[in-house]
Amino acid sequence: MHTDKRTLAWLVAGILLVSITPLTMSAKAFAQSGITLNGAGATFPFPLIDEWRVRYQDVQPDVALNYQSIGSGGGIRQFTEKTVDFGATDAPLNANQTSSLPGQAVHIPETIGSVVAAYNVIGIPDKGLKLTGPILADIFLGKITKWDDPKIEELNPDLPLPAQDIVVVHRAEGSGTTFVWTSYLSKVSTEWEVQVGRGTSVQWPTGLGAQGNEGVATTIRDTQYAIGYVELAYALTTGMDFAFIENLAGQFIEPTLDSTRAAVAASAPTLPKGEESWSNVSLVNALGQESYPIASFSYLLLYKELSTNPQIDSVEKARALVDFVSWAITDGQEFADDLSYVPLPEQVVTLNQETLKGITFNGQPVIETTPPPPPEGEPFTVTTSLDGTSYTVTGTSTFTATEVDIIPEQYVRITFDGDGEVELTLPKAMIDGITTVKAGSETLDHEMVSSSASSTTIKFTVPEGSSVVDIQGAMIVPEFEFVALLILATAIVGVIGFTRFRGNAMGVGFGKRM
Amino acid sequence: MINYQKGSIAAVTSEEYANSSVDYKLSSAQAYARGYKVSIRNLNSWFGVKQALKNINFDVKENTITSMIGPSGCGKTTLIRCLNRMNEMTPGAAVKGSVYLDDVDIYANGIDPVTIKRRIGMVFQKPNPFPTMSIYDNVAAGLKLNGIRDKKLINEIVEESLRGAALWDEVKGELGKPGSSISGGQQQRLCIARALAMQPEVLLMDEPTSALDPIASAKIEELLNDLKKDLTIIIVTHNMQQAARVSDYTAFMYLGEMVEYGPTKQIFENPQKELTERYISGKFG
Amino acid sequence: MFLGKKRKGDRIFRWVVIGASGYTLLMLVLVAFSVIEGAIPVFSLEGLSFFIGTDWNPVEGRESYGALPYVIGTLVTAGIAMVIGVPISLGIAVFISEIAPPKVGTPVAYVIEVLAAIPSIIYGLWALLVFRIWLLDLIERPLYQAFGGTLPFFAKAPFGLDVFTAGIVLAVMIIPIISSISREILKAIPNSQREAAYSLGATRWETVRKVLFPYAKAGLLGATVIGLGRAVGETILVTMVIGNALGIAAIPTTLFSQSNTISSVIASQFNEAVTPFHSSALIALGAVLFVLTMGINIGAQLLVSRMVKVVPGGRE
Ligand SMILES: Nc1ncnc2c1ncn2[C@@H]1O[C@H](COP(=O)(O)OP(=O)(O)OP(=O)(O)O)[C@@H](O)[C@H]1O
Ligand SMILES: [Mg+2]
Repeated sequence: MHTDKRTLAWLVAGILLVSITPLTMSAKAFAQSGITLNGAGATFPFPLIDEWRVRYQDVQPDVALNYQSIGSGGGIRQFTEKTVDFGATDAPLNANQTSSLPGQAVHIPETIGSVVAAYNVIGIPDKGLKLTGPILADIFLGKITKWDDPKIEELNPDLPLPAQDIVVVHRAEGSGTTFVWTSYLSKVSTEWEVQVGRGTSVQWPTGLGAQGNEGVATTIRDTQYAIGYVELAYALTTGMDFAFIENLAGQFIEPTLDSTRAAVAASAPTLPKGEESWSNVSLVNALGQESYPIASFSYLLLYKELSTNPQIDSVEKARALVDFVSWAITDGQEFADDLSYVPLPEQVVTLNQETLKGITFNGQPVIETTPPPPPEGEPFTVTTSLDGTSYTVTGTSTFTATEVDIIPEQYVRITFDGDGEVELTLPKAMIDGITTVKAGSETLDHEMVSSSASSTTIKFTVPEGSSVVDIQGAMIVPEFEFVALLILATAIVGVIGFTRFRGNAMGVGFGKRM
Repeated sequence: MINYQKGSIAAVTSEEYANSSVDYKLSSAQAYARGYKVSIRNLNSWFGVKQALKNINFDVKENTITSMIGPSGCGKTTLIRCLNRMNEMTPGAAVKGSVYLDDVDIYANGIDPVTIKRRIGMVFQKPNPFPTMSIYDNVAAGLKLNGIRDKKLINEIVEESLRGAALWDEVKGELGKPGSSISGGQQQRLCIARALAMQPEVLLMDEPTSALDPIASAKIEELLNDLKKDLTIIIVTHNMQQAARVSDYTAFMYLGEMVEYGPTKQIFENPQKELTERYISGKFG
Repeated sequence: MFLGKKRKGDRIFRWVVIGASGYTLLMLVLVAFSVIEGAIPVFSLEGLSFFIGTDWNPVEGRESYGALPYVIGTLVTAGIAMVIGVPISLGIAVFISEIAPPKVGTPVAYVIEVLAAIPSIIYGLWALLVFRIWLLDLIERPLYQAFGGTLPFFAKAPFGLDVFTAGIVLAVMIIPIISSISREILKAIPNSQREAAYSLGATRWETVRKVLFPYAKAGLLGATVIGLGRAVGETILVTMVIGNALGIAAIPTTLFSQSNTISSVIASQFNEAVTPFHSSALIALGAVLFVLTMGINIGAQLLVSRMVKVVPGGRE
């Protein structure tokens, strides 16, 4: 009885092993040596970044994006702790945060947000209400408590303002939206600046706190005579009523993508360089006739010297990161409109491109890096075939490769007739995700020169005295897969038959004992 | 329309019983008139589909002790639990038939089972004192439930009941101790005292001495004899000697049926049924 | 010799058990250590007045943190939840185990079990989107209109996002928990206890109140404490309906005041706590919650052991 069970267990374990082998062999995509860029931070740009994640697959299939929208604070923390490749934040780094960074960081504004004052008052039509910054500050300070307050009436002589208490709604949790909103109130009201100030969360003198834009929106919708603030994108997509706000030029401006963009364009000339301090950058109450006054950038954070973060461990990864960011601030802006995000104005794109040019990896600028010059010598070609498929390896060196052997699932062996520097292009169907290059037991330094959808080009130096080099990778052409499938099928049939038979036998055994 | 008066007709003779234990002919009103306290008519009980009592008929005379004997599982407990409408509280239990207390059918429509239980006391097979109440409160529980608030009266009844249950001397110094802190036999006597304090008209006892030593049992038996003056007692027992010693009448049950019922002397000395004889002489099974 | 040696299985079992209990102890120490360590900055800023402070200003350069409003908010909401939830829970438990016929009781018990297993966020969403509006229209506004002028408890215009709503929604959440545990406890009372009571002419209600409740009081208290623990520690549900006030504004002065609880403040603010003091203040709040829950549990233990002392049960 005991031994029977043990046999069965071994059998099952064996079958599991056998059945996993072909899976690992065919899980090519999984094993592929693509680059993953990890980011974390603000929730506000998440829908846009997520769109980028999907779209960037068409541009660079080998680069995967992984963004965790954990909030600006968390993003800054993770960026500082070097656990992500890039951070994202709605508020620029302040002096304290900057000083606790392990290296110099750059701000790259990647999109623009604006915040609207949404309300729920019966009788006041959509977008009908006009408000000024000081009035909003007084409402949020609890000083203006009635909708028919003379100050509001003065601005809206035609509206039937009710003699009802104003219900203030704000965000419960810390958020970039709150930062923008309180920045604006601080800028336009000294009293607000002194009593409350600006931050991702503040000590609200009055009002109801709700979770997220959704929570604030729901609360406003369900509470008569309520006023609160939400992201423009959110207000537009959910069709809330919101107020026109007076800008610095004295105009009452409807919050739209265009009026927000106008505010950014008006502020662009005053923006610092990417690597300078952005802590005082603010788009609120911007100049310009058309500018909506409550707007703000959302930023990506990168280290100026990318190798500061050990996560970025190769020039390929550094390049992939910078390439992605360049794409996001240019081509990636196309997707902003559809998601109700404000695309970056040209001046800001140019500024960002300048910033990206200054980014280095191990001291070398990432963008300007030209691929290392091919080694001297002549191109050569060697071919091998396995299971009826032939694979061609090309290369350049002063000597040539004489032979290629595929040791299925282990390595690719290349025999040379000389030593020295060589550049090899290997088909991905043969080997992918190259990890190590070895000459005998010695591991050779190799450099990834380029990688396309079908092949990888690497460069290394064949040491003096050796002529055989083994290249290992995550995927090496498997042995004829049919054999593996056959083993699996036999094993499955076997185990079914075996358990059936054993099951019966055990049943009989129990019966006898009882 | 004969208006029967309690005790107006002479008691049933033993001969009458001898011939009528299974198919009883007396109407309940006639029985009441002849001084019977409890009359059971066509009583059936089921647990789910299993019938535990099969058409039971008999009468219990006032101020007597009646023993129920029979092999385990024959339905003695079920029967006495039917006499105070306790059985119907068991999930899945069903009862059909009549039980007359005096001239009132306790199973008639409109009869409140709660008031019935106040008139018919019960002592269970296993002692079940209230563990969170003191000894005193255990005994006083029934009185308090009945709305008696007079401290002096309660004190008196508690002492009297504990004396009656032969427990007073053992616990008089520690009436404040919890009811669960005394020995199993003492707990059973506490339960008897608790039932007595209610001053019931009928007392149902399900093997009350099975957990007691001979001395305590003897005390209880003595007590039953005293109590007989004031109330009617029905007692389930497996102890033949006890049945013979204490009871005036004895009923022998077998497989849910009442096999034979009559004066104790007759059942033990001259049983009419062979089954009874075999059971009493221990030749059973 | 042969008997003196412990069997192998026993020895292994012993070590596994020692290891497991050591693990819990180690976890406790580690948690306590990291909480204390994390709380140091805020105590260096505030000193012990952190515990009685009422300010909560996370704006850089003006930081000031005090835990008092959230301790009060936590106790008030949990208190409301208990006052409303416990009697209803016990009522449900009694109904299922003592009154309802099995045909009714079993499905009701099943539904209660299902409700007890619903994640609190579901209650939270329902509360935010539906229930608070009912509460506002059917209870809060009428109460305000009737007593707003006379009783200080109700002297604030209600919006449905306040300690009252939070307390009631918490009650809704803990009722299934308390009642399903209480039902189990009542079910475990031997039937002989009920029969003893009935045989003395007790009604159903008298049996429940004078016999079953006293018999099961330690267990029922335990069920209540579990409910209280859930109410005190509940986070997301409270955050959604309590109005999330901060600082002095979070000390509820009426039933319809906005407030905040310890766990709700932590949950709301931790992600965006950018200054070291701010995170530290939240960790220190966590420590306060830890102590509060421990206090509740120890208090309950003492209560139970006192009850048990009065009645050294044990014997059947
Ligand atoms: N709660 C119950 N559910 C189902 N069946 C029951 C229940 N109680 C008793 N019975 C059945 O009814 C029959 C009579 O049981 P009862 O307890 O009346 O026997 P008894 O004569 O008192 O036996 P004992 O001398 O062992 O106490 C038995 O066959 C028993 O299996
Ligand atoms: Mg019995």
